[in-house]
Amino acid sequence: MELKELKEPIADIKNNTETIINVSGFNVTFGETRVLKDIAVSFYERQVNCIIGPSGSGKSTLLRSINRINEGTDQIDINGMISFKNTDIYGKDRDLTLLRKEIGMVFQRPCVFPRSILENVVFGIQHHQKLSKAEKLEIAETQLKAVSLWTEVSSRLHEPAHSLSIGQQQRLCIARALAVKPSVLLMDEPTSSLDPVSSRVIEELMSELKKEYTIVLVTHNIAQAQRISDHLIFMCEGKVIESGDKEKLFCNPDKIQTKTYLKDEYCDCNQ
Amino acid sequence: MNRKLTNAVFKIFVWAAMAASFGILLFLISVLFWKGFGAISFDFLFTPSSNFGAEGGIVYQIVGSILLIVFATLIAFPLSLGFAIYKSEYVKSSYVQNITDTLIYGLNGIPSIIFGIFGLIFFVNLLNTGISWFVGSIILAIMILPTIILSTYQAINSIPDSFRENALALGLTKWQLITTTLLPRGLSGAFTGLLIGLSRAIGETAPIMFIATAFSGVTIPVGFFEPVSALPTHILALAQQATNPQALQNAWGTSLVLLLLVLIFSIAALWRRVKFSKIEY
Amino acid sequence: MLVSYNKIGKGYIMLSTYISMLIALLIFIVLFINSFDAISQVGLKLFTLEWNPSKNEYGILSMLYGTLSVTVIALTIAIPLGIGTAIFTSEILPSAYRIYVKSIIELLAGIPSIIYGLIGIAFFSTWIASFFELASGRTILTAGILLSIMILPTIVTLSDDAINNVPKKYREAAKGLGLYPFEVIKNTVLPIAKKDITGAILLALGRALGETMAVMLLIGSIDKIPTPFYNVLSPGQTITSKLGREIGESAFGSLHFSALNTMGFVLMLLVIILTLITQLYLRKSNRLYE
Repeated sequence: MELKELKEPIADIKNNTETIINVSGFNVTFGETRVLKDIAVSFYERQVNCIIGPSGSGKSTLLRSINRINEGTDQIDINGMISFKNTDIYGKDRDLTLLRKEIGMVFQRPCVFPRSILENVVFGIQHHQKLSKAEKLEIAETQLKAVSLWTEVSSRLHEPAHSLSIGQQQRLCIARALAVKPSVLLMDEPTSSLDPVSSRVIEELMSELKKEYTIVLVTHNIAQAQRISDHLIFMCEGKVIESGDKEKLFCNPDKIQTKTYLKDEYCDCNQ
Repeated sequence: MNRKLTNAVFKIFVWAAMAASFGILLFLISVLFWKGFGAISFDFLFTPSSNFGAEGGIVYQIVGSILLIVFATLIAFPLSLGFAIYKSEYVKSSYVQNITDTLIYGLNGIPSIIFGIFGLIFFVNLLNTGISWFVGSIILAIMILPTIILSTYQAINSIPDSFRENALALGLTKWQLITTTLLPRGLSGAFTGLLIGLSRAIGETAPIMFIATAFSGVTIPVGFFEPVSALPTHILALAQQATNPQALQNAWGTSLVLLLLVLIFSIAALWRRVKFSKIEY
Repeated sequence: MLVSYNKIGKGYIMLSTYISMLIALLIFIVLFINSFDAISQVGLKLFTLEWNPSKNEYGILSMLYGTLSVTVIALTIAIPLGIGTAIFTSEILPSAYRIYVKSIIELLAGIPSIIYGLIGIAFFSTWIASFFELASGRTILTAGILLSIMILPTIVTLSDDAINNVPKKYREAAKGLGLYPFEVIKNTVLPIAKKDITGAILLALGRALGETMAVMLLIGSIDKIPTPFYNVLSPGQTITSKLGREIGESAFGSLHFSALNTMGFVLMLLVIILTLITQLYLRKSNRLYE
């Protein structure tokens, strides 16, 4: 931790303006429906970038376009550009596997594999590099500590992951994603299926994680966005209405829709 | 790089498996249609066979096969409808439910030749019916019972309980509830099951070859306890003289006729399944 | 009036239930009783090699061997081919086409076995004969190959269902960790679908054991275990082909008839037990991970 701060003496994270992912002119169509319309937006390095908006606004689709996990869905039509560290994500020779190794993902509902806790943590990483038993244990310990799950499960690493509570399962999924050592973590409403206490734990975790990772978070929970986001993107009906600093959007938004939504959680985009 | 290679090898394996499977299936279909169409003519369909099947047509075999499945339907349909209603509406304990399940699945698993042996012992010898098409119908009916029962049961069982409660609350008797509310859907399921069952029954050889069919000299039966000729047993007889090109030619023709009959039933069943699978309560 | 209709209705339902159940039990009992003579008189000598009714020798080992070897060959070919094809139809084929392809495969599963037998005689046996330079192409291998084709649709459609039923979220979670499609399928999808795929294979196994017509026409019908025993290019005999060939020629009530019955009974028990295990197994597996 200290080393990092030495490397970046101007480490005032809030004012970090380095973008890591840039989206421009991006459109997605499912069959006949245009889900994303001409999206142009940037995500900032080592910040919590929060996408908010009513359901059906296309925020999940945008998130899932960043690691191209939508691919393989039938009748999907994509055009436009997303760049990651100045390389085109949709470039012709892009290796999807390497891309997803760099950009990890956590889903709305925790999805643990029917294996032990330990095997779940190393499930991804063991495909990318050969691991000895000791190394697996070491990785599990590091990552489970990172998601503050270690004390709860250290004595039962070999038990099936399904025996954990839903909140613990979600933290396990985050540990599993971190084990692959991504630089970006996409999180698709990671707390929406959890109880309030578990949600808070995950929120605290995100604030901790942004020191090392770029987080792109989709949520429909405005209070949550207010608590943990640095950079805010408001979407409605497939379009980005407004994006910018959290403070700006909450205190002094340019658009009336943003103001209405953040205040009343109501959105009529055609205003 | 190694992972990429494994992935590529795996992809090749999957594509190769697909190509092999569909190649085989394509081969089967094209052989049957190509060889079969060469052998079929108006005369072939409407004249009796002669010279042990090597010459002439298959009119009595077609009649015999249809006779067999018509009576199989008449026997199996009411029985399985009743059983399915019992299973769905009257069985309360899971213990009895398990027993009926075991019987149905057990019956469904019995190899077809075993049914033939059962018919031979019980009907032909113990009840002394002799070789009889009617016994053949009974045996085919037993074979398709599980298929119809399961299809009917699933149809009736998918009707939500609220329908039953509402009907009973209106003062209907159980039988009225069954006839007005459950039977329309149940009959539809039974009919789909029947089509699936018949597509299988009409092509069966092993269960009827000892008990219901004779190879030559048979026309239209006048009583219940007489043999008939049938398409699958005719193919069997012709296949055993496969060195005679004339007989082989007629075997292909008979096969195509049989296959088309099977396809009529199975396509109808498939069509009904696709059509009715959309019904939601 | 109302009540009496109700009674008649219930009477019909109960009657058809009892008849159906009686039939199922009757089949079992009739076969058992008719096997009894052979079991009591031949006894353990059933498990010998010689089958010669004129000398009262009824050894069923060659038939058991034939059934086993044909089934093993059929499964060895059909399992990898079938699961590979199922992976194609469920993972690679666009889902819009899946229903059509599946329908075609299901229709093919309905081709009567006697027609497979005819195709086997006209093509496969001559191919095998000329390829291996044999006098006759009616061998254990020929029957096994044909049988594998007959059970292929069963394995493909049921495995396809099994794979397709694995919830999408597992694939996405695995993909999100940067796994190749191969790794997603091998380490995530197949382990979850494993139970249902096993069910499909057991069902296909049951069909293979009981299949009669095609095997009877192609196996050569010689009651012998080939020498050496793995020489599948020689003719053999399965339980079903033996029954198909001989039951019509044996006199009802004779020891010969009873010995054949015993074989049939053993086969029936085997297949029924297999079917019931499959049912039980599939019922229990009902979506543990949703």
